[in-house]
Amino acid sequence: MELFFTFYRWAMQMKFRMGLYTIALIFCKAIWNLCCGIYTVSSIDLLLMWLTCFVFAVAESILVPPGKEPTKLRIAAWIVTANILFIGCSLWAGWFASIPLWGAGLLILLLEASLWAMWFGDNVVMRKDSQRLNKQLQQFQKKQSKGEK
Amino acid sequence: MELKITKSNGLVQITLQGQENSEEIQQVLRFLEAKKNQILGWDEKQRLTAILPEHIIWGESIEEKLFLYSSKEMYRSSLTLRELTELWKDAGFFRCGKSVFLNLYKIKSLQSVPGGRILACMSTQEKIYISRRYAPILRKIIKGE
Repeated sequence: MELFFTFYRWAMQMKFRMGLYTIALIFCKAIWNLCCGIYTVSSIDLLLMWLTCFVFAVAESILVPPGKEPTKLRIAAWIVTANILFIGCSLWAGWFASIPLWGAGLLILLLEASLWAMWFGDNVVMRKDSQRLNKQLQQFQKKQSKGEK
Repeated sequence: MELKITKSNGLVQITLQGQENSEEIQQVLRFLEAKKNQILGWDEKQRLTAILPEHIIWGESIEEKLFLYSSKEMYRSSLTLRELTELWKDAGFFRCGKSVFLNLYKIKSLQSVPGGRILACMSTQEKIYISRRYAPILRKIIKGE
Protein backbone atom coordinates (compact mmCIF):
# COMPACT_ATOMS: atom_id res chain seq x y z
CA MET A 1 0.00 0.00 0.00
CA GLU A 2 2.85 2.35 0.92
CA LEU A 3 4.44 1.69 -2.48
CA PHE A 4 1.15 2.50 -4.18
CA PHE A 5 0.89 5.82 -2.32
CA THR A 6 4.49 6.69 -3.17
CA PHE A 7 3.85 5.95 -6.84
CA TYR A 8 0.56 7.87 -6.80
CA ARG A 9 2.25 10.88 -5.19
CA TRP A 10 5.02 10.81 -7.76
CA ALA A 11 2.50 10.48 -10.61
CA MET A 12 0.46 13.44 -9.35
CA GLN A 13 3.52 15.64 -9.10
CA MET A 14 4.82 14.50 -12.48
CA LYS A 15 1.47 14.92 -14.26
CA PHE A 16 1.17 18.48 -13.02
CA ARG A 17 4.48 19.41 -14.63
CA MET A 18 3.68 17.41 -17.77
CA GLY A 19 0.41 19.32 -18.17
CA LEU A 20 2.18 22.64 -17.75
CA TYR A 21 4.78 21.83 -20.41
CA THR A 22 2.18 20.42 -22.81
CA ILE A 23 0.05 23.57 -22.62
CA ALA A 24 3.10 25.78 -23.23
CA LEU A 25 4.17 23.69 -26.22
CA ILE A 26 0.68 23.62 -27.75
CA PHE A 27 0.43 27.38 -27.24
CA CYS A 28 3.67 27.95 -29.20
CA LYS A 29 2.54 25.56 -31.93
CA ALA A 30 -0.88 27.21 -32.17
CA ILE A 31 0.73 30.67 -32.49
CA TRP A 32 3.09 29.41 -35.21
CA ASN A 33 0.23 27.71 -37.08
CA LEU A 34 -1.76 30.95 -36.92
CA CYS A 35 1.22 32.83 -38.34
CA CYS A 36 1.21 30.33 -41.23
CA GLY A 37 -2.54 30.81 -41.75
CA ILE A 38 -3.42 27.37 -40.33
CA TYR A 39 -6.25 27.40 -37.83
CA THR A 40 -5.88 23.85 -36.51
CA VAL A 41 -3.27 21.72 -34.75
CA SER A 42 -3.15 18.10 -35.94
CA SER A 43 -3.92 15.22 -33.58
CA ILE A 44 -0.55 13.61 -34.31
CA ASP A 45 1.25 16.83 -33.34
CA LEU A 46 -0.80 17.06 -30.15
CA LEU A 47 -0.03 13.46 -29.22
CA LEU A 48 3.67 13.83 -29.99
CA MET A 49 3.83 17.01 -27.93
CA TRP A 50 2.12 15.31 -25.03
CA LEU A 51 4.49 12.34 -25.32
CA THR A 52 7.55 14.62 -25.38
CA CYS A 53 6.32 16.48 -22.31
CA PHE A 54 5.55 13.19 -20.56
CA VAL A 55 9.07 11.88 -21.22
CA PHE A 56 10.57 15.16 -20.04
CA ALA A 57 8.43 15.26 -16.88
CA VAL A 58 9.50 11.68 -16.02
CA ALA A 59 13.16 12.55 -16.71
CA GLU A 60 12.78 15.69 -14.61
CA SER A 61 11.38 13.75 -11.65
CA ILE A 62 14.48 11.54 -11.80
CA LEU A 63 17.03 14.30 -12.41
CA VAL A 64 15.69 16.88 -9.95
CA PRO A 65 13.36 14.99 -7.59
CA PRO A 66 11.39 17.15 -5.14
CA GLY A 67 12.89 17.21 -1.68
CA LYS A 68 16.43 16.52 -2.89
CA GLU A 69 19.16 19.11 -3.09
CA PRO A 70 19.27 20.42 -6.69
CA THR A 71 23.02 20.27 -7.28
CA LYS A 72 24.67 22.07 -10.18
CA LEU A 73 25.14 18.74 -11.94
CA ARG A 74 21.46 17.85 -11.60
CA ILE A 75 20.37 21.28 -12.89
CA ALA A 76 22.81 21.04 -15.82
CA ALA A 77 21.51 17.56 -16.71
CA TRP A 78 17.94 18.88 -16.50
CA ILE A 79 18.69 21.81 -18.86
CA VAL A 80 20.53 19.58 -21.35
CA THR A 81 17.68 17.01 -21.33
CA ALA A 82 15.10 19.76 -21.90
CA ASN A 83 17.03 21.21 -24.82
CA ILE A 84 17.68 17.84 -26.44
CA LEU A 85 14.08 16.69 -26.05
CA PHE A 86 12.25 19.85 -27.04
CA ILE A 87 14.57 21.03 -29.83
CA GLY A 88 15.18 17.47 -31.05
CA CYS A 89 11.50 16.54 -31.16
CA SER A 90 10.59 19.88 -32.81
CA LEU A 91 13.09 19.19 -35.58
CA TRP A 92 12.15 15.53 -35.93
CA ALA A 93 8.37 16.05 -35.94
CA GLY A 94 8.55 19.33 -37.85
CA TRP A 95 6.35 21.24 -35.42
CA PHE A 96 7.86 24.52 -36.48
CA ALA A 97 8.83 23.61 -40.04
CA SER A 98 9.89 26.49 -42.32
CA ILE A 99 10.30 28.84 -39.36
CA PRO A 100 12.80 31.64 -40.12
CA LEU A 101 16.10 31.70 -38.24
CA TRP A 102 15.04 34.60 -36.03
CA GLY A 103 11.84 32.70 -35.14
CA ALA A 104 13.81 29.60 -34.21
CA GLY A 105 16.11 31.79 -32.11
CA LEU A 106 13.10 33.32 -30.42
CA LEU A 107 11.65 29.88 -29.64
CA ILE A 108 14.97 28.71 -28.17
CA LEU A 109 15.13 31.90 -26.12
CA LEU A 110 11.58 31.23 -24.92
CA LEU A 111 12.55 27.67 -23.98
CA GLU A 112 15.56 28.85 -21.99
CA ALA A 113 13.52 31.60 -20.32
CA SER A 114 10.82 29.05 -19.40
CA LEU A 115 13.43 26.73 -17.92
CA TRP A 116 14.87 29.61 -15.92
CA ALA A 117 11.36 30.52 -14.74
CA MET A 118 10.74 26.92 -13.63
CA TRP A 119 14.09 26.79 -11.84
CA PHE A 120 13.37 30.15 -10.17
CA GLY A 121 9.92 28.98 -9.07
CA ASP A 122 11.18 25.67 -7.69
CA ASN A 123 14.43 26.77 -6.13
CA VAL A 124 13.88 30.35 -5.10
CA VAL A 125 10.17 31.03 -4.60
CA MET A 126 9.15 27.56 -3.33
CA ARG A 127 12.27 27.18 -1.23
CA LYS A 128 11.80 30.58 0.43
CA ASP A 129 8.17 29.69 1.10
CA SER A 130 9.20 26.34 2.58
CA GLN A 131 11.76 28.03 4.81
CA ARG A 132 9.13 30.49 6.05
CA LEU A 133 6.66 27.65 6.64
CA ASN A 134 9.21 25.66 8.65
CA LYS A 135 10.14 28.69 10.73
CA GLN A 136 6.48 29.35 11.53
CA LEU A 137 5.92 25.66 12.28
CA GLN A 138 8.83 25.58 14.72
CA GLN A 139 7.55 28.71 16.46
CA PHE A 140 4.05 27.19 16.64
CA GLN A 141 5.31 23.90 18.07
CA LYS A 142 7.58 25.69 20.56
CA LYS A 143 4.82 28.05 21.68
CA GLN A 144 2.33 25.21 22.14
CA SER A 145 4.78 22.98 24.02
CA LYS A 146 5.34 25.85 26.46
CA GLY A 147 1.56 26.04 26.89
CA GLU A 148 1.39 29.67 25.81
CA LYS A 149 -1.16 29.06 23.04
CA MET B 1 -1.24 21.03 47.82
CA GLU B 2 -4.48 19.99 49.56
CA LEU B 3 -6.58 17.08 48.38
CA LYS B 4 -10.16 16.46 49.49
CA ILE B 5 -12.13 13.42 48.34
CA THR B 6 -15.88 13.17 49.02
CA LYS B 7 -17.90 10.08 48.14
CA SER B 8 -21.66 10.21 48.03
CA ASN B 9 -24.30 8.03 46.29
CA GLY B 10 -21.68 6.40 44.09
CA LEU B 11 -20.29 9.76 42.97
CA VAL B 12 -16.81 10.96 43.79
CA GLN B 13 -15.93 14.61 44.19
CA ILE B 14 -12.29 15.57 44.26
CA THR B 15 -11.13 18.99 45.36
CA LEU B 16 -7.55 19.97 44.78
CA GLN B 17 -6.20 23.17 46.18
CA GLY B 18 -2.81 24.71 45.78
CA GLN B 19 -0.75 27.52 44.29
CA GLU B 20 -1.56 28.11 40.62
CA ASN B 21 2.09 28.08 39.59
CA SER B 22 3.09 25.04 41.64
CA GLU B 23 4.65 22.22 39.64
CA GLU B 24 2.46 19.59 41.37
CA ILE B 25 -0.76 21.37 40.37
CA GLN B 26 0.51 21.83 36.82
CA GLN B 27 1.36 18.11 36.61
CA VAL B 28 -2.11 17.09 37.80
CA LEU B 29 -3.74 19.54 35.37
CA ARG B 30 -1.67 18.22 32.48
CA PHE B 31 -2.61 14.65 33.44
CA LEU B 32 -6.33 15.48 33.62
CA GLU B 33 -6.15 17.42 30.37
CA ALA B 34 -4.56 14.44 28.64
CA LYS B 35 -7.19 12.06 30.02
CA LYS B 36 -9.96 14.38 28.88
CA ASN B 37 -8.77 13.95 25.29
CA GLN B 38 -8.46 10.21 25.55
CA ILE B 39 -10.62 8.15 23.19
CA LEU B 40 -11.25 4.45 22.91
CA GLY B 41 -10.40 2.45 19.83
CA TRP B 42 -9.26 -0.93 18.64
CA ASP B 43 -5.68 -1.90 17.99
CA GLU B 44 -4.50 -4.31 15.29
CA LYS B 45 -5.34 -7.29 17.50
CA GLN B 46 -8.90 -5.94 17.93
CA ARG B 47 -8.32 -5.13 21.62
CA LEU B 48 -10.12 -2.11 23.03
CA THR B 49 -7.42 0.44 23.81
CA ALA B 50 -7.23 3.95 25.21
CA ILE B 51 -5.75 6.32 22.60
CA LEU B 52 -4.10 9.58 23.53
CA PRO B 53 -3.65 12.36 20.95
CA GLU B 54 0.07 12.73 21.64
CA HIS B 55 0.63 9.17 20.43
CA ILE B 56 -1.03 9.68 17.07
CA ILE B 57 0.97 10.93 14.08
CA TRP B 58 -1.75 10.98 11.43
CA GLY B 59 -4.90 9.23 10.37
CA GLU B 60 -7.26 8.61 7.52
CA SER B 61 -10.83 7.69 6.85
CA ILE B 62 -11.29 4.68 4.58
CA GLU B 63 -14.80 3.57 3.68
CA GLU B 64 -16.20 5.48 6.66
CA LYS B 65 -13.80 3.79 9.05
CA LEU B 66 -11.29 5.95 10.86
CA PHE B 67 -7.74 4.66 11.15
CA LEU B 68 -5.17 6.31 13.36
CA TYR B 69 -1.45 5.73 13.07
CA SER B 70 1.13 6.07 15.81
CA SER B 71 4.84 5.49 15.26
CA LYS B 72 4.36 1.74 15.78
CA GLU B 73 0.66 0.91 15.98
CA MET B 74 -2.47 1.31 13.92
CA TYR B 75 -5.82 1.91 15.64
CA ARG B 76 -9.41 2.05 14.48
CA SER B 77 -11.89 4.42 16.00
CA SER B 78 -15.68 4.55 15.84
CA LEU B 79 -15.55 8.35 15.61
CA THR B 80 -15.84 10.16 12.29
CA LEU B 81 -13.00 12.24 10.93
CA ARG B 82 -14.95 15.42 11.63
CA GLU B 83 -15.70 14.39 15.23
CA LEU B 84 -12.10 13.47 15.94
CA THR B 85 -10.54 16.60 14.45
CA GLU B 86 -13.04 18.67 16.42
CA LEU B 87 -12.31 16.78 19.67
CA TRP B 88 -8.53 16.93 19.24
CA LYS B 89 -8.39 20.39 17.68
CA ASP B 90 -6.62 21.87 20.70
CA ALA B 91 -4.21 18.93 20.73
CA GLY B 92 -2.94 20.07 17.31
CA PHE B 93 -5.00 17.87 15.04
CA PHE B 94 -5.68 19.28 11.65
CA ARG B 95 -7.72 17.99 8.74
CA CYS B 96 -5.47 18.26 5.70
CA GLY B 97 -7.53 16.58 3.01
CA LYS B 98 -10.86 15.03 2.19
CA SER B 99 -10.12 11.95 4.28
CA VAL B 100 -6.79 12.63 6.00
CA PHE B 101 -5.75 14.42 9.18
CA LEU B 102 -2.44 14.92 10.93
CA ASN B 103 -0.93 15.96 14.22
CA LEU B 104 0.75 19.34 13.80
CA TYR B 105 3.17 18.56 16.65
CA LYS B 106 4.44 15.49 14.81
CA ILE B 107 5.41 17.35 11.64
CA LYS B 108 9.15 17.35 11.09
CA SER B 109 9.19 19.71 8.14
CA LEU B 110 6.97 21.37 5.58
CA GLN B 111 7.62 21.84 1.89
CA SER B 112 5.76 24.19 -0.39
CA VAL B 113 4.89 22.40 -3.63
CA PRO B 114 3.34 23.64 -6.90
CA GLY B 115 -0.42 23.86 -7.09
CA GLY B 116 -0.80 25.62 -3.75
CA ARG B 117 -0.27 22.41 -1.80
CA ILE B 118 2.08 21.70 1.10
CA LEU B 119 3.97 18.49 1.68
CA ALA B 120 4.33 17.55 5.34
CA CYS B 121 7.15 15.23 6.37
CA MET B 122 6.10 13.56 9.60
CA SER B 123 8.34 12.44 12.47
CA THR B 124 8.00 8.89 11.12
CA GLN B 125 9.33 10.03 7.70
CA GLU B 126 5.89 9.55 6.15
CA LYS B 127 4.95 12.24 3.65
CA ILE B 128 1.44 13.67 3.62
CA TYR B 129 0.06 16.22 1.17
CA ILE B 130 -2.00 19.08 2.51
CA SER B 131 -4.49 19.85 -0.22
CA ARG B 132 -4.84 23.31 -1.71
CA ARG B 133 -8.16 23.63 0.13
CA TYR B 134 -6.61 23.10 3.55
CA ALA B 135 -3.14 24.62 2.93
CA PRO B 136 -4.31 28.24 3.55
CA ILE B 137 -5.90 27.11 6.85
CA LEU B 138 -2.63 25.48 7.94
CA ARG B 139 -0.72 28.65 7.04
CA LYS B 140 -3.06 30.66 9.27
CA ILE B 141 -2.81 28.17 12.17
CA ILE B 142 0.98 28.05 12.28
CA LYS B 143 1.15 31.79 11.79
CA GLY B 144 -1.00 32.10 14.92
CA GLU B 145 -3.89 33.88 13.21
